[in-house]
Amino acid sequence: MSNVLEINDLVVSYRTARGHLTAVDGISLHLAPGETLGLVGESGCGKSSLGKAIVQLVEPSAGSIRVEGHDLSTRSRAERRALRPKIQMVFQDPMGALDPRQQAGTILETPLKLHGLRDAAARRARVATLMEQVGLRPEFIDRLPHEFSGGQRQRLGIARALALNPSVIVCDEPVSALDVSLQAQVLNLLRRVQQAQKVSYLFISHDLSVVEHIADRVAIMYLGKIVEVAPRSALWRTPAHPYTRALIEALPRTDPARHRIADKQVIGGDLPSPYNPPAGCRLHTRCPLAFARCAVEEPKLATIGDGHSVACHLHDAAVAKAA
Amino acid sequence: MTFETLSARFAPARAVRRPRRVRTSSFSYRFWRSRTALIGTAGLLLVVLGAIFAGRIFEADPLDMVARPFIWPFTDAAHPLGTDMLGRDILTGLVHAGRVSLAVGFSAAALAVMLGVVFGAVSGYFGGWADQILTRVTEVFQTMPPLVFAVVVVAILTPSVGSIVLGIAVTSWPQIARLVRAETLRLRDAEYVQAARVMGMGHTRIILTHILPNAISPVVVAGSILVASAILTEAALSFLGLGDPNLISWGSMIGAGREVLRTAWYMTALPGLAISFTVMALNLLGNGLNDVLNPRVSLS
Repeated sequence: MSNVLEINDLVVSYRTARGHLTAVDGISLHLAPGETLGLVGESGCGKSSLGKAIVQLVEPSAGSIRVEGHDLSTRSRAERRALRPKIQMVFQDPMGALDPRQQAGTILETPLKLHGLRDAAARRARVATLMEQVGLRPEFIDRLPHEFSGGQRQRLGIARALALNPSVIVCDEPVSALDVSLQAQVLNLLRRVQQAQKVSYLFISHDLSVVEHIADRVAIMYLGKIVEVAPRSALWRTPAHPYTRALIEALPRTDPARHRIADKQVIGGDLPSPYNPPAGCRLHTRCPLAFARCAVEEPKLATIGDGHSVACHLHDAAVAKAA
Repeated sequence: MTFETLSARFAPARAVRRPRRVRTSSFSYRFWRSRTALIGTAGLLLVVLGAIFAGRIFEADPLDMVARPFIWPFTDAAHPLGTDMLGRDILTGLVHAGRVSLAVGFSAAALAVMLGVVFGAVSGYFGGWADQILTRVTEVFQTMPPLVFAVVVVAILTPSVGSIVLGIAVTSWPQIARLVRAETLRLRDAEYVQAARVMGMGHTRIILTHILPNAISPVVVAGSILVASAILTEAALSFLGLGDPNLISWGSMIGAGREVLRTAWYMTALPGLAISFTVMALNLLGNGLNDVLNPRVSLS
């Protein structure tokens, strides 16, 4: 089967008081059925904007989003609305994503009502199934969000996303607001749901170790651009981009002999202003391996292995030398 | 004491029903704990019941002359609060006048709240040029002194209950609109609103099911105080002779009693007291509701 989600040269920009801000700058991605793509990047690199564009919360300025082959940009409003159930979202803050005045049952029933499940008994049955699926006890149905624990709230958020049988769920940092013990619980739930329903995830996170847990493929994002995409194992064994390497090395490891701070190649400083991104390779201001060409020419995303692409001049050079 | 008796004593009582879960955050639980809100409700209830059953308790027309004029209060058992300069019974008048005052107060406040909620929600939710235009309109209405504006409206439309209600509502909706706009601005980017959009909910439905229920607390509080100020404005208009000439209201009673203020001050004081009592009850209710609806205030 073909891809459930295809993004081509997507640009998302905002007009702000400080000027034009391009949060997502020409990104192409695809998502196969039942696959999990991890999207990793620092705060402010545009990963949430990408997620919001996919669920039609922000209007892209250019490029296309195809959902199961239907291009959103060429569709009418009614058709786009009809495609909304295909892509759902799990939010970062489980408390903020639930209306404080609505009971769990109402929260889960609303999407069913909106999309034409008229029969009240059928809705109740579906709500019960959903709650069971995410491990919430049936008697919780009349509870208000503040009467749940953080993990339960996030499970309710997941159940709501599942209500419409989506083919893609955009998970925007779904565990970063939770305790570590709950993170594993929610991640396992997401994986279990995926096995049962063949749903695909775009899993947005700033935490590589969380993505390591759940993603089949990983895309690394820096200042609105994808710098590297690779299957999980390839990314961990042979990270090709200096930025990816720095992210991996920044993770705490339990091998004191090999990984000391002094040995690490750390990317210092802050993210440059996205209002005025650096010319050439966007990382060159912070990259320890940057050379003259990096400041002038922007590297293109190029394939270097099976499903592994990277945007870095170092690899251009390596490929050129080998050839 | 043997082991059996001990274990019998500490054994879990099997037959005990699980206690019903009490939501300490629920409206009714908090309402019953707020002394201010309860006193306000009791006072208002007294006035409202008096107004509703006015026809039953005092069957006579309040505008009929029933006795000798200038009977002082507490001197004649047949007319406990005395009579005015035309021999009309003051107690009957007070109770019947309460009908008009309350009806005007509540309907003016309701109209103002409706206008304010619609304008405020639309301008806060959609923003952009709609917000620009509606905010300017609101500001135009706010620059005019409310009482003068109400006088002008009533004078143009000829005095009647309808024109008084309209005059008061037109001058008081901007404050509700600003309140609702501010609340809507706070709520429209909430993640649960985004979640509703992601599932394909339309704007009207989002406003009705997510924004307004979460924005309504301060509106309820402002609304109850608005009723009080509408009653005062109605009294002021009637005092100025802009009341409905065919109906008796507290304001018109004060206006009529003004001429004999030095000889029979009770004719102005009694309806004045009725107004103060009602307005105080409404203000207490408003302040009480403010505490009840604000979860950060503890009620003990």
